Amino acid sequence: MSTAVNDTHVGVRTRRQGQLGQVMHRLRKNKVAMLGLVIMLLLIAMALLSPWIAPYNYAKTSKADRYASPSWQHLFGCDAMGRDILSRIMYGARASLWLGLMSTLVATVIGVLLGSLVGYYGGRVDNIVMRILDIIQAIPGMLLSIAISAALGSGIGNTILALSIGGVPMTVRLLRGSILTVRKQEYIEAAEKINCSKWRVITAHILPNSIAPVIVSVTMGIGNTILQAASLSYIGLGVQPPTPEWGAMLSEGKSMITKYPHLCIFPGLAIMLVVLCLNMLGDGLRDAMDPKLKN
Amino acid sequence: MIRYIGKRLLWMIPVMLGIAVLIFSIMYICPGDPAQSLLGPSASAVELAAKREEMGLNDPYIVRLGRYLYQTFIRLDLGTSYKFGTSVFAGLMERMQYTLVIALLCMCLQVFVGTPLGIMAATHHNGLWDRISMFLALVGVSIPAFWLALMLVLIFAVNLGWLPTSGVANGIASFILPCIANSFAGIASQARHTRSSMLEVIRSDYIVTAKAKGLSQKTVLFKHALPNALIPIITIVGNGMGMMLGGTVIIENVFAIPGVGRYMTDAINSRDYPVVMGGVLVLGLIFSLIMLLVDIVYAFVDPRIKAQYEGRKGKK
Repeated sequence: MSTAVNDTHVGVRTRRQGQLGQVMHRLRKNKVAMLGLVIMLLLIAMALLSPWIAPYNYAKTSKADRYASPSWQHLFGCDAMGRDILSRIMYGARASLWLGLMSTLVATVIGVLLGSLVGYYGGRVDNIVMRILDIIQAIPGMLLSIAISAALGSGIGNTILALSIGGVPMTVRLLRGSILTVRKQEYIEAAEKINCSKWRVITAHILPNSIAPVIVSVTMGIGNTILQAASLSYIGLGVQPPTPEWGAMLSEGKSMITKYPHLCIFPGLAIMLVVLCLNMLGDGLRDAMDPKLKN
Repeated sequence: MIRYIGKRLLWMIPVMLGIAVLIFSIMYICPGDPAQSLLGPSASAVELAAKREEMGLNDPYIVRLGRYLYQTFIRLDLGTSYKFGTSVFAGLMERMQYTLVIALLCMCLQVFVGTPLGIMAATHHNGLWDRISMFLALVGVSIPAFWLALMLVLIFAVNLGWLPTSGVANGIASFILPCIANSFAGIASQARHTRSSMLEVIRSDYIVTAKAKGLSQKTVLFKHALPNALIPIITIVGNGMGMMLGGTVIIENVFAIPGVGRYMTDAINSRDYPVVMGGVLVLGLIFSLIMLLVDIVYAFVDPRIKAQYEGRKGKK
């Protein structure tokens, strides 16, 4: 008897791994997505290792190098205070990537919690939460982030909060819609009938079967959040100098753009590269998870 | 249909109330003292205290919130700007033209450039045109709008001297760069969504049937595939409008355009709360109205939704 139970258990587990494996297999075959993933990992490594691999200290000023053009000594040139731009971009990756990843993570955690709550219970809870989200969604996202970040003040933690709130409604909506289709399936009823706890029904049976659209939207969302974070820093909210952050670097360089365009070109290219890689990876994930595109 | 529109319009009242409460609460926790920014740094402590009392800044949160809601929704008054001493509503209306012109032009660019690009990509699936346009679209959704704006200024205004760098003094020429910068991501995302929606429809059985009937490629595409593919795209258009309205805030700052966005970011920096709150409310209202319009168009275009609604009405 116990072996039989064990067997089915093992069977279920391998099948689930098999599904994930299939997705990974399809993703691995997608060259564009893999390129995005590899560059992304390299950029993360660059951010983590920046104190050791950056050619200069990001805060080291030098009068002689003010506005220095790109050269072999300073590949991307120097800014108004003679600080090496390449080093600042390497250090700045920490703030920019951290902002993008953390804001999306916070938004996703809140969104998944709320989404499973309203999707599973429905009824009045659903109504109240969805109406509140309607209100949040009625304010254009960028505007909401600007207002919240003005209220909370600058700094990484506050900016993460400002960026994540706008992302919550989207995740809740996606997950709720996807749970509603799964909710009525027989296997959920079966799990409920054999006295699975509600927590277990949601985490073990509903979420694994309804989370796919959220994963895709989250991957795409990180890129978008990085763009928003940079925009906030650019208009003087968000992360502020002297912390190196790509949006803030652009903001510092913009007044001198006509005379020294390299101050703006390189940080912008860095933002674009990161977001491009995330979108490439996101596209690949979406295709890999789409059952209609199998084989 | 009219009942549906009426219901949706009525529902906008609680949404607007919600926005007002939300934005008031956000501004309530804002650091900084409006009395200080109103009187300037030279004001004495006594003057400041008197001003705070006069403005009602010492009252508890709920009293101030009640007063704000009463003033906004009963007396329909968005208040007076601390900084300029003028009506916020008049200030917003005066600047709204620039913001709306940019947002609407961007919408048009998104719809009329993005959609054909997406259709062409879908009809040339996996061909050269598909690859080129989808690569461009991928780059398009990855470019920071304000950086693109800076680069466009650098190339077309500074180096080539074709277009003005900033301001609105040059008529339509002043709006070309801001609109391109602000709509680039929208065009790209419209093209991507149109393509995937078209591809999905092209794979469906009724398209195979239509082709099997011997209809021409053109008829199949434009009579059978496109109308069905367009339905999900309408939602993207509505969301795009939100993006454009939010985006103009940043773009107006880059190009020094005296629109609502710049009015609001200036107000945030000078702690001019009535302007910020009024701006968010008005932009939220415009956005909600557009989303309502999108839903109505949706119901008109999609007979299934229309039937669903009429069926419900029949039951009642």
